Amino acid sequence: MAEQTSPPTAHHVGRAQLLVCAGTGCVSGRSLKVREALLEEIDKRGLKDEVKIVATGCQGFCAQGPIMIFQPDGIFYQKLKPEDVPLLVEEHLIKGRPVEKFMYVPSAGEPPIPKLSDIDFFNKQRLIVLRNRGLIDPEKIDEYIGREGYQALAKVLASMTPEEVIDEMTRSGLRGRGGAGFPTGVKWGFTRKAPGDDKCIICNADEGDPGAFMDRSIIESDPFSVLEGMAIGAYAIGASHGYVYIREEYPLAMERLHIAIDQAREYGLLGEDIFGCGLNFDISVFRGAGAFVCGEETSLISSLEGRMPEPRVRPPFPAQSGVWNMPTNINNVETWANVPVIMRRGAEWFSSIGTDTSKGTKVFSVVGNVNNTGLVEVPMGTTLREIVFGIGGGIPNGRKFKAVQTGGPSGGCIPASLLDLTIDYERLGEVGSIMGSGGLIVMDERTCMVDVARYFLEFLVDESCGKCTPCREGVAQMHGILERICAGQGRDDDIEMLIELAEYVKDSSLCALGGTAPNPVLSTLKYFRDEYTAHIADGKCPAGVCKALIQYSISADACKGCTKCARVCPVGAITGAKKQPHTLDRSKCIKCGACYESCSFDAVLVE
Amino acid sequence: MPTLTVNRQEIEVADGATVLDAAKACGLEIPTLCHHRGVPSAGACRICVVEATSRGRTRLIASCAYPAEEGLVVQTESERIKRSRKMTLELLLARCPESERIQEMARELGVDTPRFKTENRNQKCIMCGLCVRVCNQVIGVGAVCFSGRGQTREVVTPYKELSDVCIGCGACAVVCPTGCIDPAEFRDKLLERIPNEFNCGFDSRRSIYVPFPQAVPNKPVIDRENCIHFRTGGCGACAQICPAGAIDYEAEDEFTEEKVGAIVVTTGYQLYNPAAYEEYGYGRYPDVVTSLEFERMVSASGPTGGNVYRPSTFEYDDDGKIVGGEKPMVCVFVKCVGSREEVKHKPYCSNICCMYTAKHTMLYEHKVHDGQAFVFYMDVRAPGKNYEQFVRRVAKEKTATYIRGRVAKIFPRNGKMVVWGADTLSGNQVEIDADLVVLAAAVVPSSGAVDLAQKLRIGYDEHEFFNEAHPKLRPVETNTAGIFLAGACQAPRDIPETVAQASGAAAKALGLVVRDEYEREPIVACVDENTCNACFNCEPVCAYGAIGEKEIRDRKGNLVKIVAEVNPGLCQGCGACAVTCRSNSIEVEGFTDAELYAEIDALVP
Repeated sequence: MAEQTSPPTAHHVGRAQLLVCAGTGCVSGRSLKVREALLEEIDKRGLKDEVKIVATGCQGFCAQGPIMIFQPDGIFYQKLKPEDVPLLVEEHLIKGRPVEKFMYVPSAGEPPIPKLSDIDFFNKQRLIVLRNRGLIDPEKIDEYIGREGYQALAKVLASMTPEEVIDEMTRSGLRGRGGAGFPTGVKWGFTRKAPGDDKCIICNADEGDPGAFMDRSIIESDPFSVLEGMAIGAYAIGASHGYVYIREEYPLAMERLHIAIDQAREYGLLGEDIFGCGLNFDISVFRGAGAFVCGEETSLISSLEGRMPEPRVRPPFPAQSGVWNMPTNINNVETWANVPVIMRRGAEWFSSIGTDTSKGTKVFSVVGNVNNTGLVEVPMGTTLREIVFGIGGGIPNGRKFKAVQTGGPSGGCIPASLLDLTIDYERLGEVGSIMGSGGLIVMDERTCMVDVARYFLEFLVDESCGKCTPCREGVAQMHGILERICAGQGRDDDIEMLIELAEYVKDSSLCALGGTAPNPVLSTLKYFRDEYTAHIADGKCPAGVCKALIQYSISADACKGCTKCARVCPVGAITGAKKQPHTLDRSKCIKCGACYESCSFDAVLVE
Repeated sequence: MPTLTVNRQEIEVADGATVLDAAKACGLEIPTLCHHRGVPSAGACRICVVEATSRGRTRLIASCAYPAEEGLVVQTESERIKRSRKMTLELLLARCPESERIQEMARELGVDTPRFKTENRNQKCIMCGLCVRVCNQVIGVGAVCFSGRGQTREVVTPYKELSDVCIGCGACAVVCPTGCIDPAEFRDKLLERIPNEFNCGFDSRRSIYVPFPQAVPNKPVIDRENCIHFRTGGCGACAQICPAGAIDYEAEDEFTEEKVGAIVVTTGYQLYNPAAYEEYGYGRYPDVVTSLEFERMVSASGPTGGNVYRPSTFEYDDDGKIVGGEKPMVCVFVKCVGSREEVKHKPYCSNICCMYTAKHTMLYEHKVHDGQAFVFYMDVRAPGKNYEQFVRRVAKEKTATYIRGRVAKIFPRNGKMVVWGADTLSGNQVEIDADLVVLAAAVVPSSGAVDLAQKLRIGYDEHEFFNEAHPKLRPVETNTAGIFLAGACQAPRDIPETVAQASGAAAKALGLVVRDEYEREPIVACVDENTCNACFNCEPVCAYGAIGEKEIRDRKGNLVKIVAEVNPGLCQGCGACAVTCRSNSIEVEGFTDAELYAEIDALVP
C-alpha cells in the first residue's frame, strides 16, 4: 500500500478531499449524480474553498459502488446515493463524525470498517500498475505528474540509450500481460533490430474477454501511465508513431484517453522533440468495432489497416512486418502501464516481486459468485485462495466454491482442489488454463461445468473469424455436442469425440483464438468429467442448471409457507396457503429457477 | 537462399519460397485446397498442414503460407498430420457433402461419411477465400469480399448487389477449388470475349496469346487493351507463373534501323469484303461466310477442330472454345464475289477461287458425308498443271453440283439461307434452301500496300497491286533497284506461282549481295560539286530515291558546303534530275549536254 498512502500533491489542497469514483461501474451506479450533489451541498454550506471534490478513475471495488474516499482520514464510503449526501456532509464535514451507515461491512453482524487501509479487499493488494487509481483525477495531467509521473520518461531520455532501456526491460522480467507472456524486453529488441526506416508501436486495448475490465479500468483511472510507457517504448524501439487500438464499447476510457493525449501534447510530452531530447513521437487512437479476434495481433493490424480483422500466418511476425509493413511492437495496456514504474524504480526492484519465471504483479478482474467483485492487483505467485477468499471475500450466500475460470473464454476452469495454486504463467499452463489478460470468474456449487463449457464455446463460435477450418467448423461442432449434452441428448461417444475435436482444433488452428478455444472443454473434462458422465449416462445435471435434465420440487418439511416462491413464479406453477407447505405443479413449471433463487429456506429442491 | 530439411532431405530454395514450394522441389505431394500458385496464400483451409520444428518447438503449420526458413525441419507425413487432415476433411465434408472435389479428397484420405452434421449443409463453398484474395490482391478490383464472421461468414459483393466494380474477369471462378462461384452472380455484364483474329473471330483468345500456331517467333504476346494488368494495374498472374521470368510489362514497341542491300516485298493479299454485295447479306447473316472463314472451319487446328458447323449454331464452353453446332446439310459456294465485275467491283480474275472452291467442295464432302454442295460459277478456270484434272474429278465424283450463273440474292427464311440464282445453261431461275453459303471473295492487296509502295518508291497499279519492272522480262523486280516482289502483293497468285516467284526474287536478291563488287548500270546521273548550290530540287523528282546529301569539308574538317549526291546503285539513269537542275550541275553520264551538243553538231554541220 506504499504507493497509495501519499495524497495528491497537485493544485491547491484544502482541508479535505472527497475522492468520488468515476469508473464505469460507479458511473452506472450514479456516482456522477453523487458528485453533483456533493458540489451543490458544499457550495450551500460555504465549504467550497476548504473541500475539494475529485472524480477519480476506478477504485476497483466495483461491487460496492458508487464509492467515495474521504481524505485525509482515509474513510471509505460505499453504495452512496445522491440523497445521502446532505447527511454525509452534515455529519462528517461539519461535525467531524464519520457516518457508519455508509461504511463497509465485511459480513453481516460484523462491525463496519471505516478506513480503506483496513479493508482486506484493498490491503491485500499490491499496486504497481494501478498505483494511481482513486488517487488522481485521470483527466488532469498535473495530478499524474504530481505522483511522480513522467519522471521515468525524463530519466530515460536524459540518461539512457535505447539499448539500455531494452536491457533494463529484459532484466526486469516483465512478460506480456495480454496473455501469451512473451518477455517484453526481448520483443522490443526484435522490433528495434528489425530493418526499417520507420517503426510503429501499438497499445492493444481491445479487451474482449467476457467479464474482464482490467484494461478499461487502467485507461479510465490512469491513462497517462500508458502514454508514458508508450513514449518510453517508442524511444527504445525507434518508433515515431503509436496507436491505441481500443474498442468502441469503451466510451469513457476513450474520452479520457483523448483528453490525456491532448494534455500530453500541450505539455510537450507527445509530439515533436519531447523534453527537448529529439524524440518525435505521437499517438493516435483507433476505435475498433469490438470483435474478439482483434485482440490477436495480426488481426488487430489488419483491422488497423482498414481490412477485415483476420489473423495471418506468422512469420513474418509484426516485429518484422506489421502495420503497413513497418516493424511493429504490440503490447497490452497493462504491459505499457508497467513500463514507467520499472524505468523509475529499476529492473532489480521489479524483478524482486513475483515468482522465478513471472515477475511483478498482475491485475485481475474478479467476477462471478464472489462477494467482492472488482479489480485487484496482486503479486505474481499469490494463491488463488488468497484472491478468491482473502481479497474476494469468499462465496456469497454461504455456498461452496466449485471452480475458478481464468484467462477469458479460451482459458480453463481450475477446481477447488487446486485453490492453493500460486498464480503465474507456467503454473496456470500446467493445470490446463492460461493467464490470459486476467479475467477471473469464480463459480460456486450451483454452476454446471458442462454448461460453462457450452457458454464459452458459444461465445467462441460467435467470435471465430471463420478464416480457418478447425476454428470455424471444429469449434462449432464441439459447441453442437455440448448443446446436445446439456439438452439431455448426449451420446456415449460424445466425450471421446469432444476430446478428438478439441485436440484437433488446438493443434491445427491458424491463430491463438482457435489454438486455445478448446481449453474450456478440455479443462472441465479434466477436472469435472463426472459431470459430463452424469449428463450423458445418468441424464442428470448435478448442479441443477441444465433445464432439460432437472426437476424442481418443494420440500414439505423445509417450506415455511412464506409464499415468496409462489409470487415470483411467472407461470403460477406454485400454489399453497400462507404458512403452509407449498406445492409445485411440474406440468406447468418452465424450470426458470426463480423459486430456487428466491427461497430463503432452501426448501426448493433440484434433482 | 535458405536451406531447410524436408523429410530428412536437405534442400535449398529461393528467397520467399514457402514450405510447400520446398516440399514440391523434393518431389513430395501435399494436398491443398485454398492454395493457388498465382494467388497469395492464406493458410486458411489447413489441409496442407505439415509438422515444422524450429527453435525446439514442433508445430503443425500451413505449408502453403509458411515461409521456408533457414534451418527449419519439416516432416510431411506423420500420424499427427494424417489425423489433422482427416478431421479437416471430415468437417468440410459435413459442410459441403455435395462438393465433388471434397468428396474426392475425402475418399483419398479415407474419410467415408462424416460423423458430424451442420446447419450450413449443402453448400459447396468451403470459405477458403481464394476468390476474395484473387479479386482483391491479384486482379486489384475488390468486387467480392467476406461478410460476417464464423458461421455466418459468406462471400458477397458490397450490399449483396450486382457490382459495378466487378470487371467480370471470372478469375474468382477459375481459382475456386470447389467450383461453386458463378461470376454472373456478381455482375450482370461479364467481360466480353476477345475474338480470335486468326480464326476470323469464330472463337476467343486470352489477352496473352500466341497469335497463331505457326507464328514466327512462336511466342505469346500481350494484348494491352484487354489485359487486366494494363487495365487495373493488378493481376500479373502470367508474370508470377512464368518459370522463365519472361514476362515484361514495361516492354515497348521500338523502331530499329538496319542497312540492307536488298528488299523482297511479300505483303500478300486479303479478301475483298463481300459486305459490298448488300444482297448477299454478309455480315448480317452469320451463316453467310467467306471462303477464308470456311477454310478456318475445315482446318484441324481451327476453331471447330475441323468440324463444319453453321456459325449461327455454335456452342461455346466456358473458355470460349467452340464445342459443337449444327452441321450444314446444304452448302452453296458462290464464286467470283467481287472478281470480274468491272462496273462495281474488281475487273480482274482472282486466279485462285476456282481451284480452292473445288477443294472446298471435296473437304465439305469429307466432313459432311451426306451433305449437298452447289457451286455458282461464271467460268471454271483451271490453267495450271493437273488443275483441269482436279476440277474434273470434282465433277466426276459429284461432290458438288456446278451451276453456271450468278447469285442474285441471299436471305433467311425458316432457319435456312435462301439462295436465288440463275442457271444460264438451262435458262432457269434457281432457288436453294441452304444451311451455309460460302462466298469466294475477290483477292485484293493487303491494306497499307499503297503506303508501303510510297515509302519504298515502287510503283503500283489502279488496284494497288505492286508493279513489276517489266511484265515479261523482269517480273520479280521493281523499277527501284534492289527491291523485289513475290506473291500476291503483285497480283492474285496461287501457291505454286508464289513459291516460284519468291524463289526468283530470293535468287535476284542473293545475286546482289553475294558478289564482292556491285555491278550497276553504267548510265547514271552525276553531280558537279563545284557548281551545285544545294537547292535539292533534284531530290523530289527522283523516282528511285537516289539523291542524297554530301558534306564537303576542308582539311581541318570544317564544313565547307553541302551538295547533292547521286547513289549510283539506285540511279536508273532516267535523267529527271538533270532536266530539273537549274544550275546545270547534274547530268547523266555519257549523255551530258556537251556530248549531246557535240553529237548534234556532228549531225547538223
